[in-house]
Amino acid sequence: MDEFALKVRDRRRQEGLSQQELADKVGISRNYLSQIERGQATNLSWQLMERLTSVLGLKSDPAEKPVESGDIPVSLAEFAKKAELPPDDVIMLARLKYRGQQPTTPEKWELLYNVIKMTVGK
Amino acid sequence: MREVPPAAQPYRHPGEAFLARYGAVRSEEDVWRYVEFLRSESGLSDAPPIDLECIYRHFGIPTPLRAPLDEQQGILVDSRTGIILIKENDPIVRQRFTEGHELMELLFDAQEQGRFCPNWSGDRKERLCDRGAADLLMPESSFLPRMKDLGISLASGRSLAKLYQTSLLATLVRMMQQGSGNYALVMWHCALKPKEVKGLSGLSSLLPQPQKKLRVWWRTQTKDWHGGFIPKDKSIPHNSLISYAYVSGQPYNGMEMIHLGWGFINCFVEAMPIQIGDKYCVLSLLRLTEI
Repeated sequence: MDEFALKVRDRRRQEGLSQQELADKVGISRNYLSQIERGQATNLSWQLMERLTSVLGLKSDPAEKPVESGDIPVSLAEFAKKAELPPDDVIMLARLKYRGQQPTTPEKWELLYNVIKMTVGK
Repeated sequence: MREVPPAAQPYRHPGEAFLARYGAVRSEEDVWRYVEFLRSESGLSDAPPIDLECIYRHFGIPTPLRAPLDEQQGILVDSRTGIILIKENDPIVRQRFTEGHELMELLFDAQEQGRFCPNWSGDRKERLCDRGAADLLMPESSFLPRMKDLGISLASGRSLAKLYQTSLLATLVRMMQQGSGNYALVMWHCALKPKEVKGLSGLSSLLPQPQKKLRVWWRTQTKDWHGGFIPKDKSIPHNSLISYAYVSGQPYNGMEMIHLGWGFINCFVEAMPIQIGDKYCVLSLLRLTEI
């Protein structure tokens, strides 16, 4: 069964919702929800996924989503502590997507942080 | 009279726009469909060179900023505003490829936000972003017929690279992905064997140190390659055309028997010295002539 199917089923049960109740909330039939939970309906529309994740609280606004301490590389944490970076900036650095290497030392993080600040005024 | 440029569009996350229309990404085919989506939505055909500005304009993505990056070619800084940084010191053709890569990153970014990621590793996503960038800048529908006309050689790689405004290396890799026939592209660099590198720390400084040799760094080949396995780190002797190119700094070509450890292959070799970052290497195109 795919990961999404499991998440939907588990969260629905945690929330104490019946399949019919959840299906009503997202505007699909109970039968269709059952297929989704069994991993048999795989070609879900994005809109339906949005409704399901929203109703079940599986989705958070990425801006609000906390970065867990495990997501922050040790070298970034060191730099952030030394430079007393605002939490938003630490989150911004932790979420960067690269073509190339992620900085591996506090000094390299500092260089990158300064380049970003200088270029985009972040 | 000068045409009035179209008014800037408000930013629309292209990855989210794609997912809203086609649903979650579940296979690599969906990733290639996103490439087609980027081009078609922006009114681009497959004719080279692909104008990435059209994509930025259509989705309201700010033109990527050039920045003095060091170890990164490009960075997607903020997917909510579409801010992208590109290494300013890279050649323009490499910058274009990096831009393509970052546009692909936006797909995975949207996918992650929705938490419906296929279980793909970070490395696989990087490969898909590179492959997607190649697809975006060198669309199969226009690239393949041109490559068939020109044949596979370093010279045709140069012609296509000029036409598509891509690097020679990216173009040759694309030719290996798309082409047919018995071809392999092999990059050679001067290095120790991994076993020798591991042993270095344990060696006394009084003992003779192992010498670096010209070795296979990476390789890629056409689907039809029947030349067998090309081992990474396999060295090439001093009397090879590939070694000549390395030592002389000049291109060489000709027939050669290459020893690959498990046996010999007979190839037509085109070898040219090439600088990759701060590394001096030799790029070789091998065409198998007999099995």
